[in-house]
Amino acid sequence: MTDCAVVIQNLTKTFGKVRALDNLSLTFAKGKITGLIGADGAGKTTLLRLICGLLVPDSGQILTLGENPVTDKDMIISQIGYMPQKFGLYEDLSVIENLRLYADLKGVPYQFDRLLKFTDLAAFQNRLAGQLSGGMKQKLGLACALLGNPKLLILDEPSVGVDPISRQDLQQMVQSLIDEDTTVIWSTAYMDEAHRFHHTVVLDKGRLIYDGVPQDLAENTAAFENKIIDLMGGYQEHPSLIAEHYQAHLQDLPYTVEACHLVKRYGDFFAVKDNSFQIKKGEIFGLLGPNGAGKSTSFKMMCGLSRPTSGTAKIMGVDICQNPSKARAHLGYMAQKFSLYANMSVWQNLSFFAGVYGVHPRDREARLNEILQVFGLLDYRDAVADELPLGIKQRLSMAAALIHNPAVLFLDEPTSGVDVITRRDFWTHIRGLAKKGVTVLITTHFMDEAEFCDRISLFYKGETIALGTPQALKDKAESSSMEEAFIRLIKEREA
Amino acid sequence: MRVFFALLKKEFLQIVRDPSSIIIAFVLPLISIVIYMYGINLDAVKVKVGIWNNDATPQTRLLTEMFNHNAYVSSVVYDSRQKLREDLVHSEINAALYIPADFSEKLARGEQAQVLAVTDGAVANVANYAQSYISTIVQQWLEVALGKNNTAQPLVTVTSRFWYNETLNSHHFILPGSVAVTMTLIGILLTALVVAREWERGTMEALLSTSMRKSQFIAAKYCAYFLLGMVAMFFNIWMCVAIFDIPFRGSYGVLTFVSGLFLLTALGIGLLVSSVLKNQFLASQAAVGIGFLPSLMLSGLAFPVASMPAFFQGITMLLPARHYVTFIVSEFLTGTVAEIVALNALYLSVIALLLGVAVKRKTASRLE
Repeated sequence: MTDCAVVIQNLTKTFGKVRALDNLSLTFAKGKITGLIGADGAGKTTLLRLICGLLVPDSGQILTLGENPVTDKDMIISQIGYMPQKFGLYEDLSVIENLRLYADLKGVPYQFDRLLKFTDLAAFQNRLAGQLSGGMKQKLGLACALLGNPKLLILDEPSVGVDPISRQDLQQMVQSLIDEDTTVIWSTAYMDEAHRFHHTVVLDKGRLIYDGVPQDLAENTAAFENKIIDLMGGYQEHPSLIAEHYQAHLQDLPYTVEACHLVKRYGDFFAVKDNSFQIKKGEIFGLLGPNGAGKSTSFKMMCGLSRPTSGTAKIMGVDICQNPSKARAHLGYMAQKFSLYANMSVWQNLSFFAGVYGVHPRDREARLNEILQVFGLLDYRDAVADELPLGIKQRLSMAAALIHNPAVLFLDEPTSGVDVITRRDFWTHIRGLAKKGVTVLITTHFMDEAEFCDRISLFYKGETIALGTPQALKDKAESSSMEEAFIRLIKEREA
Repeated sequence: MRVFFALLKKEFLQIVRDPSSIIIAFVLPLISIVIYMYGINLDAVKVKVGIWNNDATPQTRLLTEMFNHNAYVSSVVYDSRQKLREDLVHSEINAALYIPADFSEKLARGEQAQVLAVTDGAVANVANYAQSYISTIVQQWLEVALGKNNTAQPLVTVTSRFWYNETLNSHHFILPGSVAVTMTLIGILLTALVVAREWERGTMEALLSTSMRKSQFIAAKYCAYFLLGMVAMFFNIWMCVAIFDIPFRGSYGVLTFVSGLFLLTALGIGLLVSSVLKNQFLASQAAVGIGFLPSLMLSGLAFPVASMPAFFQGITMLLPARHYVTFIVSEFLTGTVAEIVALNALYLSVIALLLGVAVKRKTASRLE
């Protein structure tokens, strides 16, 4: 098969008891961009690593660019550009030093002009990679992978936690920087992205469940996403148990969350300029914006983790600066990164957070059992947090944030790196809780999630540039989709 | 070669940008040498002796006087036997000397006279010192007090001289020996983190997907940290010689050569730990546990190897620090002794080579 860059036959790979790939047979067509989709733990990363020869299969065969990656890794590796999930950048090296290092390692000349131009990194050549924004790191990672014009480009979830503009840039970069016969394998959790590629491969529990052209599945992104979910076994919309068990003792206030002229300044730089908004009880309020716009900084100030330069925030009418512990008692917070104790069990983690949030020791046992049941964590009671699948980890974080029945829930990119089905499930709970009167403040880079919000604040360079319902924002930008609206509103502002 | 130099350059950039390795290389030796110099002292200890004299004669007064004229003893004469006992119990004094009422009388009659020395055995080595000081002073007193009556010359006299360390200054061997312990710690700590860091930050995966060979990767790590380690080593030795005036009688060439071999063993342990554990926290814990502590306790610096049980003596043979301590102490105090240099250099080379092979075997060329 000369028109195939990668041929896989009866491939099986196990890690201990887990079958990551199960008798998989698959081909990747030469010169095409293939989107690789699958739930967490479906075996996407394992497959990509096997193709590069970074792992050895238990059984079955792989031919990467006509060679066996197990025995002839050295022959093919120079023709592969591989971008691992963490980008593989040296954070204490500058942009140009990273590029030079990888050019040396790959034995290619120092010709970076074109890459720097396309990545917009020319002005930041001497900045340390660790100080770049998420979107810029992603572009640098791609630039390093593209050095030496690889015949096969392998990208492992390059766009996790990256805003829509950077994602669009990335896709344009790949399309303009590769040769016509370059094959791209691109694993992603974004359905809009996958829908735009030539080809789609869907994995589930190590098996192939779809291999074809995305347009054959559905014409538009939303329908495509539904089809993919159906392929993965479907998602049954059901009332949220979590919301049903939520015990509200909510006061009636005009606004449950208020940001009052929040400012955060680092030297001459305003991370947040003058941010004010009010959120009503039971409202889902989305905070959107590119990486580095100041969303997380706003978030941290609002839950009292960072002191505002001026201004303040009120949670259930309590000033977070003057009375932080009382204000926080009303608050459940889910951080961007998994921030529970990785080496403690599910039960131990929850029990700890119950203690921290002041659940009475007498009620703790009963409360924890209820939480485990409601969140579907009973099977994982004694599992160590670090070894849980990503979706379960995320559910555990949410359980920890809701353990004290808070009136307000702060969620900072809770669905970053999470698969479609888990995201669906997550939003069922969020909407259920909001209906019960919980106020939700959420940040996300998924534009389909933005549509679920009651109101959105579009945040850019420390300022709110648009505020309103998703429909109002789309109308303002004269766009049909939220994604288009996002990009257009920000580009307008920039111009 | 291009790959190797690129990796080497990367290592140096990381060293320069990360202050922790600079702190390990220069601040750590400074702190430890100050502790070894001023905190640790194996020299003769000054002991406090309480005396209760129940036999007030000119002769016994001379004896109590002599306790006051000794560099290693300070004495207090007690009036109350009760008080003397209390002070010994409360560790106010290290030893008590009782002179009974009939002491001079018995002596005059030519009978055997006795004094009682009680020492605080809770601190065994101080008690030892106290006991031997007291016997020596009593002997000296006997010669002086009875010398006039007893003119016979002793048959044998011992003249002692301490070679290589005339003043028996323990710092002359502790400080050079401490270089071994400090350099073990530095060598291991410097490298224990570096491979684990590549795994944790995901750069290992990116490196493995290039055509880099693992020998190049290992060689770059060894080279970069070898250079940094040698600078730290010279800094350490310079402090011994120039600041603390430890006499150096050997050859700097030989010292550099054997120290280099020793540093390679320490770097090897660090790299091995790091490659196996792939976790910075575990690796740094393991570095202290398997590197630093044994070299402190079993190298012969703090406790002589000859007085250990045979089993532990066997174990010390595997410790690079033990061979290096033997070498560096002799190089400083005695000068270059060909046999000592050759034997220890051989041991160190073998250990360094074995560790190097182990590092190569444990360094992954894939992710599993």
